[in-house]
Amino acid sequence: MHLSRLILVFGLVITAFVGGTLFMTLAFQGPRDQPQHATILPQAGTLPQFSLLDQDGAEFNNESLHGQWSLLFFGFTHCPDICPATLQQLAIARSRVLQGGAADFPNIVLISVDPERDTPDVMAEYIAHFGDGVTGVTGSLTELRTLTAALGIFFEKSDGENGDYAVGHSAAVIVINKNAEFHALFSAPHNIDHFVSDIPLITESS
Amino acid sequence: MTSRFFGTLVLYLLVIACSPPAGAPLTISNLVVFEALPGTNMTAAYLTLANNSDQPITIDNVTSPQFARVQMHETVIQDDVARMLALAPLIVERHTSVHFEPGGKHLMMSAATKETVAGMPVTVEFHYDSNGLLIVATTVSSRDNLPE
Repeated sequence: MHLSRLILVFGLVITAFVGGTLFMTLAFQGPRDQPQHATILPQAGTLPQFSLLDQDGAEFNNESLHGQWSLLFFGFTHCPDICPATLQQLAIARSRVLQGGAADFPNIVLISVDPERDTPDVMAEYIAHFGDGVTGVTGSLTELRTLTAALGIFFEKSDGENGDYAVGHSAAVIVINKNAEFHALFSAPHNIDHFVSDIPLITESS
Repeated sequence: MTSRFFGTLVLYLLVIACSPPAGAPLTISNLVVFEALPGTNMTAAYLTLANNSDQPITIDNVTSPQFARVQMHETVIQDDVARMLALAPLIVERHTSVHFEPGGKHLMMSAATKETVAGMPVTVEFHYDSNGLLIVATTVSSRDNLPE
């Protein structure tokens, strides 16, 4: 009688321990097939008509985003810190995802918020550093504002010394789906592992 | 070739001459100056500043013979918007370290006097407490070595 009660208590303790561990694991890990870091819009947003230029001087517009996933980052070539760091992170994530066996990776698009300095030629030279799958886009401020307003992207030129002005800008990475719609976003600060884990889940789920 | 060798030699001798003795109040470690990206004549540098003394140290400004302008900046992300804030002067409290790293504090080095390519010698001069000077030499790093 005493022994059976001991076995019962021991069994309950083991069951509680295993159950608790399982619960905690699932609670903190979340479902594995859902992006854990990106914010998915409840309903994809339609982009307004816009017309910018790519690094070759060709028109870059809504049609340029159709038929493939894209990752838009708004920055500028004279940005010393976060812009090259984010592009490098995206380029590394692209490399890792493709090496992991994925058939493709979204096109990485740097859209300049400093068209005054970032001509198509400057963009071409700059993006070449980040390897394949990167497009550089620039254009008029009017067209740029049309696009950024729809995406909730902010940018503002700030005066500096000796013509060394900077441009404050949103640091989010915007995910555009194959229908050229605003689908999701990654908020800063960015992390390569977050891109590697979430981007295939986003693109494969839709 | 010979002039470059002697130029580098003179640079290192200068750095050795200006290097702080053991127990120096201010030390710089992990200094990385990245190559300028194509199409630009500016770059960023990252490092760790350590105040080993019993008094706060004020970094007045930073200069480099290889760049017309060097500014201490911090990228601040607020509401998902990245802005660069000027840091000078920067106070390093007693017995603390300040880390300059991607996405945070950094040296913005602009108007390079010549093309900034990986392997090129570069000198960074830290002016502190009105008349203190600490000179650190390194070589320009490839962007492929950017910390993740």
